[in-house]
Formats: sequence, C-alpha cells, structure tokens
Amino acid sequence: MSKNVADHYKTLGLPETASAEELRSAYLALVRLHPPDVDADKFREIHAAYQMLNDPLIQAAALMKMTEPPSLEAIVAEAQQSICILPKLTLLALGDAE
Amino acid sequence: MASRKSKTRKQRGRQAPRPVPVSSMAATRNSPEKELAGLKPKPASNERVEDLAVFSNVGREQLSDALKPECTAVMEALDAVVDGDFARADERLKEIPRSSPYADWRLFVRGLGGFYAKDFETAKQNWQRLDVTRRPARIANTLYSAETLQTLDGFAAPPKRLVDGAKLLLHRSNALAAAKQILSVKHRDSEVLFSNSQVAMLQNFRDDFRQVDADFVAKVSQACVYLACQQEDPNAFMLLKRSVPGPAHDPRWNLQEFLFLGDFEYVEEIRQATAKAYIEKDLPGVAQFSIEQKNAIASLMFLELARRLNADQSGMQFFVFSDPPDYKAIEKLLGEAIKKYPANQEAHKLLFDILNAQIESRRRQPKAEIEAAEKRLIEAKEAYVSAFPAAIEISLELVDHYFETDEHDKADALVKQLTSQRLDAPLAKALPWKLKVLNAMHASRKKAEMSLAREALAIVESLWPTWLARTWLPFLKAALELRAGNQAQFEAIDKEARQVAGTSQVAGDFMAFAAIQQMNVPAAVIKPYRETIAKYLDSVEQMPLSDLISVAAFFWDLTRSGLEHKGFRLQAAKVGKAICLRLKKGETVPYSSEFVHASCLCAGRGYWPNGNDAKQPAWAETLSKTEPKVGAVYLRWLTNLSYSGPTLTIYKPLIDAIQAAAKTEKDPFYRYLLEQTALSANEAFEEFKRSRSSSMTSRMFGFGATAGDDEEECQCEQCRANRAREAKRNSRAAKRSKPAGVPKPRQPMFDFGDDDDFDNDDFEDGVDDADDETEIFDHSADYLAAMTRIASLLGPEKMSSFVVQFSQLTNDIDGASPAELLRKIAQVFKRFDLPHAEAVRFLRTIGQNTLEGGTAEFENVLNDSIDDSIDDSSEALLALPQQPVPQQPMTAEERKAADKQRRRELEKKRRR
Repeated sequence: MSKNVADHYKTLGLPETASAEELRSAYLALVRLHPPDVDADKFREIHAAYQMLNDPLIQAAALMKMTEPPSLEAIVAEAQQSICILPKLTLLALGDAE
Repeated sequence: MASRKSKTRKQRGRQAPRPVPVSSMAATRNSPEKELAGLKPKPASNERVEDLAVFSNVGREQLSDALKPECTAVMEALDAVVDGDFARADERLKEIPRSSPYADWRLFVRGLGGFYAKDFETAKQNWQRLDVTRRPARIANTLYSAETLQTLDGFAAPPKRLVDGAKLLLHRSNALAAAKQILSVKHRDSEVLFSNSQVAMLQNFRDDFRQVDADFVAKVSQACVYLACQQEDPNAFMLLKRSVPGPAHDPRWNLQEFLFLGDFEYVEEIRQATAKAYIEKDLPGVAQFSIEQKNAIASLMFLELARRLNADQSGMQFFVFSDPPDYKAIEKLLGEAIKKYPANQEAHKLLFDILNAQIESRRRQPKAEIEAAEKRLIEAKEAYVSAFPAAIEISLELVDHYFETDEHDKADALVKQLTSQRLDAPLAKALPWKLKVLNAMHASRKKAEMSLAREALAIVESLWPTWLARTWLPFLKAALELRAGNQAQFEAIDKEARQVAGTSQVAGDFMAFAAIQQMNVPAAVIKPYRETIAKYLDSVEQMPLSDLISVAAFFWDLTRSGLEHKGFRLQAAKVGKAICLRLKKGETVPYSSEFVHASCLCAGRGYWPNGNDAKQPAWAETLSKTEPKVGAVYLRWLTNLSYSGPTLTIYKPLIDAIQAAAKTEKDPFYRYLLEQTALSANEAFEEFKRSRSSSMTSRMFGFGATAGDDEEECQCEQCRANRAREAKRNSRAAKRSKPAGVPKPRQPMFDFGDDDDFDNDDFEDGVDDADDETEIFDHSADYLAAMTRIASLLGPEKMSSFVVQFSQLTNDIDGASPAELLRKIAQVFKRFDLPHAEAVRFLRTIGQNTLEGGTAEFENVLNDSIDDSIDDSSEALLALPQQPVPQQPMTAEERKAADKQRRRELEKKRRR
C-alpha cells in the first residue's frame, strides 16, 4: 500500500510542519545512519520519503496547514534564560564617558 | 486550548468578521526601555577618531582612507551581532590586523559573542585586553558590570545610570513582566483565547520594547497572532494583522488570513482578495521559497478556493430548487491552479468532476453549453496527460475520443507516447491492438477501404491480448464480410465462429450484433439483427439465466476493453439488471468464469436491484469473498460515486482482501485491477476518514452534535446490531413515557400507503414542529440544517442511499407539478422511515425557498396538503375540538401580499 504524507514525515522523524532545511538535514542524517550498502531497505524508504516530501506541492501543503500556535509560555521561558541583544546605538552608548 | 476541529463547527455559519475600531489601542507612553532605545553615543572629549568613526559620520570623514575599510568591517560586524549572527561578525573582522587601531574592536566583538552566550569567562578574556581609555573597553566594562556586578580587572567603575540601564535591557525585566501579564489574562469564556484587551496590552508591549528587543517582541507578537487565529472571534486577529509584522514567508499575514477565513461562511470574496494579495504582492518577495514552491503555494490556494466554492454550492445540489453551482467561477479558479502548477493532480481531478457534473446536469443547461463543457473536458484531459504522461486511464479515454472524432493523428501520437513508456497497465500494453481494432472499424466505413479493414483485422489477431477472450474476433471478421456485401461468406464465418466459441444462440446473436454495429453495416442490412436483439431484450425475464450470464460476460469483455458499440448501455443495463433481480429472487446458476465476468459487469455498473442503495446485494457480497475481482470492480464503481465514503467504511475488509488477492492473481488484467483498486479504495477510505473531521463533513454530520459525534461508528455486524437494538429500546421508552390522554393519532399528511411502521406520534410532532419552525427556515443554510438532521437520523450508511435517491429525484421531476413533487419527496422520506416531522420541516423549507424565488404556488400546495391531511383525520378533530381551524387556501391577491411580506421579512433578516 502506498504511504501517505504523514507516514513519510514519520519515516524522517519530523513533524508535518518541518521546513525544507529541516527536511534536508533529517534526510542527510538518516542516510548517514542507514547507508545503502548496509541497510538497503531502510535507505530506500528514507530516500522515497525524502523525494516525496521534497515535492514543492507537498511542501506547500505542509505550509498551508493550520498548526497549533507557538507556545507563548515557551517563548517567555526561553527569553528568561537568555541575554537580550542590544541595538547597535544603545550598545555603543554604553561606552559613553561620565 | 480549544482544538481547531471543535471550534470549526461553531464558526461555520458565522458572518464575515468585522474588526472593532482601533481607536482604543495603546496610548503613547514613555517607558525606560524606550528612552534607552533612544540613546545615542556621545563622543568623549578624548574620543579617538577611529572610535568616533564607528558611530559618527564626522569621525568617518576624518578617518584616513587606509582605515576606512576596517571601520566599515567593524560597523558591519556590529550589525551582524545585532542580528545574532556571530559567525558573520567574526568573518567580517578577520580582515583587521592585530596592529590596526581597530584590533580593539575585534577583541570587543569576540568578547561580545561570549557575553551574549553567557560565557562570561571568554568575554572577560577578550575584554581584559582592551585599552581602558577607549570606547570598546568602556562598553565592555558596563556590560560586564551589569551582568556580574564586578568591573573588569583594572577598570574603573562605569557610570551607574549606564549600568542600571544595561541591566534593565539585558535581563528584559520589564519586557518579561509585560509578556507574562499578557499571558496571565483570564477569560470568563473558555472559547476566548486572545481577547481585545490582550490586543491592547500587546500593542503597549510592542510600543515599549520593540526598539530594544525586536526579536523577543516579534516572537511574542507572532505567537499572539497565531493564538488569535485559533479562536472563534475574528476581531483580535483582524486587529493584530494590521499592527504586527508577519513571519518572513507571510509578511502581511495574508496567507494566515486566507487559512483563518476558511472557517467562516460568506467570506469567499474577502478570501479571494486575500489570496490574490498574497500571491501577487507577498509571495514574489519571499526569498525562502523557490519558484516551484511559490507556484505550488499559489496553486493550492486557488484549489482551496475552488473546493470551498464547490463544496458550498454542491451541498445544495440535493435539493430540487437550488441553483446550479457557479461552475464558471470554479472552473476559473481551477484553471488558475493548474496554470500555476500543472502537476496539481487534485486540481485536475476537481476540474474533471466539475465538467462532468455540467455535462450530466443536462436538465439544467442548454445543449450548446453541454457541448462546450464536453470540449473543455477534453482540453482538461489533454492538460492532465501533458502533466502526467503516465496517466493510463485518462490517456485511454482520450484515445477513444480521438477515434470518435476522427482525430487519428492525435490518437496515434498518444498511443505511441504511451507504448514508449513501457507501462505496466495491461490496457496500455494492449493499446496497439486496440488501435488496430479501431482502425479496422474505421476503415469499414467506406467500402473502398475494405482491404485496409481486413489487413487491420489480420494484425489484430496477432496482437490480441492474452487476458481477453478471442471469441469475438471471428464475429468481427464475419461482420466485415457482411459490410462488404458478402452475405454467404458472413453466414459461413458466423456459423464457424459460434461453433468455435461454443456459445448459446442468444450469446452468439449478441456477439454478432455488436460486431455488425462496429463494422458499420448499413441500417437496412442490420435491421433484422436489431429486431432479434430487441426481442431478446423484451423477454429477459423469461430467458434462461445461463444465456443472460453468457451475454453479460461478453458485455464485460467489451466494457473492459473499451469497445462498447452503439446501444450497448441499454442492452447491458437490461441484461445486467435482469441477472441481478433473478439472483436476488434466489435463482441459482452454476459457478463459472462466465458467471464471474457477468458479475463484474453488474458490479462495475451498479445494476443492483436494491433501489439506489450503494451496497452490494447479498449474493454479490458472498461472491466478492471468493472472487475479489468482482469486489474490486464493485469498489471502483463505488468510489466513483459522489458520496461513497460512508458505504466504503463497511467494505474495509474487502479492500484488504483485494490487496491480498493482487499478490496471487495470475491474470495480468485482474492483477492490475486488484492492485489499483486496493490503492484507490484505500486512498478514498483514508480521505473519507480525514474529511469526517473536515469542515464540509462536519456540516453534514456535526450540526448541534457533541464532540463524540465525530467519532467513526464501527460498522461491524455486531456493533450495527447493538446500535439498532439501542435505537429500538429508546423508541419504545419514548412511547412509554408519552403522557396519558393522548388523542387517537390522525392520518399522516401524505398518503404513504398502508405501511404500519409509520409512527403517528411523529406526525403530531411534525405538525407542531412545523408550526414552530416555519419562520426559521429561510436561507440555504436551512437546507443543510435539514439535511444534517436527516443525516443524524439515518446514520452515514443510510444517508448515502438517501442522497442517491434524492439526487435521482431531481432528475425525474421535469414538468412535475408541485403536488406531484411533494408526493415524490414524501415517498423518499417514507421509504427511509423518517419521522413525519422531518418531512414537514423539509417541505416547508423547500416551500419557502421557492417563494423566495417568486412563486407562492408551492406554499399553497403545501398548505393544502397539510389541510387535507387534517381534514381527513376527522377522528382526531373530534378528539381535539381545540385544534385550530385549518387555514383556507389563499386567493391570488392574498398570496401576492403574503409573498411580498415574506420577502420583506427575509430581506430584514438578511440585513440583520
């Protein structure tokens, strides 16, 4: 039976909203893990999934899926852990003399 | 958080979103961050010109030409740091030699990278080496002090106001507090996810912090927009859309708005405008997408618009008085979708459906329009084959069409292209054979070309597919002789052909007639043969079943090879339906390959005698278990029905059996058929499962339903029996709970015959409900609401049959009077044992919509029907003296006035 898009994403271990770069990175990583001379079946499966998902139409469909919104709590928590990068002029003004 | 699925149902039927005014947005305020963001570096009295040049044009003018590139490198590296791209900053600073006066800036930027990564040790190592008298050192010391509360070794304490300001900015103290405040707003209504007050708070937040912490503000703002998109109330999104810049791929939120509006009704024009804005203005500027991706996105947007338009309008098609869908608009959108991305298969498929629907709805359209639609269908198929050269079925259809229209060059080219691809499909492999058969048939048109026809038939013999019986070939040869005027030769070959084939007289006659028709034998010569066939068809009930089976098996061969002759459909239908009816009545027939082929014909054309039920009859279901090819042919027919999904769920085990059988089947035709059917039926099954949760289906099944209603009901025998028992129990309980003193039931409104199953309680409810509900029905949405109620009463399985019967009703009403129509509609309701209340509701709905169209006659008939039924029930009237006196039929003037009044009310409602 032919696999559907969701199955292909599952093969690559990605969510259906993954970007083209994420797709490529996941594909390359998996291909390194399952080279064709070692695990031909798995390689074929990964390659087929990548080829399918690399189809612009499927990528476009993934983009147009309404997804759950990014979590505001997670954004705030992440911001709490990091230092704010200052604007250039503000940064330079911190070097003003007394 | 409310899931998209559950809220979608509620959003359906909403009016277009109207944003509230923005006047109450954030007031202009001055926060400390805003002031800090406004800070500009002031040159110190002893500022070196190299440092001054980094932030001042005056300094740059004074700088020597040799140092200018290094200064530019520092400025660009600082820009890269602000963008968070430290690698680019490092790369840019490589050009600066250690001996350069800008070497300090290089050290500073490197330290800054460590600092922002909270690696204060690295920062310190770099910054400790800076010249304390210069600006990089002073900045580094301020940052270091703000974060670690210590100065760099050997550095003086930086100005307190600067350290405090840096602390405030670096730790985002206020920004985080403001963001948390937005988050902490509690909503009384659980449906609200982002309120208008939060919109105002977000505006203040953006106003205060976007200049100093653009990245964080952008992330929070965009998350808020996405959150606003998840709720029913569109105001928050509409407000935010204007003030919050979107992500890189959707800078003006047009794509998001397009998706968001998909949950609302009556917004198609706004949605189209949004799609246009995104495709024409935003998409060309999006750098992250390739041209193909952009075209694919645009194509999908057009397809989505077309789908929605089609779904909204075809939902009405089941109803006799609805306007036909706006095919032109749908076609235009699909044309755009295909133009943008020719490999958009779904767009092609929908276009085929739309064009086929136009061709099939002959009742509604003039002949010229039908012909134009047929022409457009061919063009659409050509476009499809051009985008998908390996598309067998469409290519084969095109080949047939080209032959019908004498476009042999095009047919030859297509056959050549298909055969060059070495496709697996047996029909594609058999194309050269079919081409020669068609060539022979075509050449037989002219007597002068008889030799060409004979040559073609000779080649046909060598190309005959292995999966097709060869028995028909001699009949074709015989027919060619008849066409050539060689009666004696015809009879000799025909006799021999019958002997070789071992067919019965009847089957032989049908085979001969088909060949004679295909070989263009003149009408005068063909007449006796036609009369023989007509006699057979008139007496199918009396003919031996085995003869019918043989004929049907031959017809199946014609069907699968696509060589049907004129009048084939009528003949096949008569024979097929007769077989099905007799098998249903219990007549038996010995099992044979002919029987299997005959069953394939019946299954492939849906000649079931069980009304318009999409389900297989019992004998076919049993046969499908031992002969999955029959099941496969049936499933192909079923999946082509417009509303096959619910029935398909019953046949999931059959799909699995077909899939398994494909692996062992030896006949290449059936192997391919089994494989492809399993594939397409599985896809259709999955699609149906998906669509159950999608908007259209939720409208059909989900109105007023609870969340649990969306769950798929198990269709196994056990569960269905349990459900039936449960329904019966509920029905009995409801009757028991009826209060005492209920008057003797009146007669139903329509004459439903003497069916005892009709629940007269329902009739009472129906009249009451109808009285209550009359004013509610006025718009097309009510049709859907009525259908939804019916769907919930019938369940998915029966609903599909109901829809089939109802849509067939729309084809049978040409010239019918309103009274006749009412009777027919009522009969359908009765057939499905629907409560009388539903019939009354539904008919009133139809009546009102008809009135809207300008005629009051229907309403009159409806009133008359109700009155008649009440008049007839004299017993009920005696038992209920308080019953209102039935309404008298209106005069023409009264009718006009009522019509006018109703229109006025409708207009008022619409405005509201």
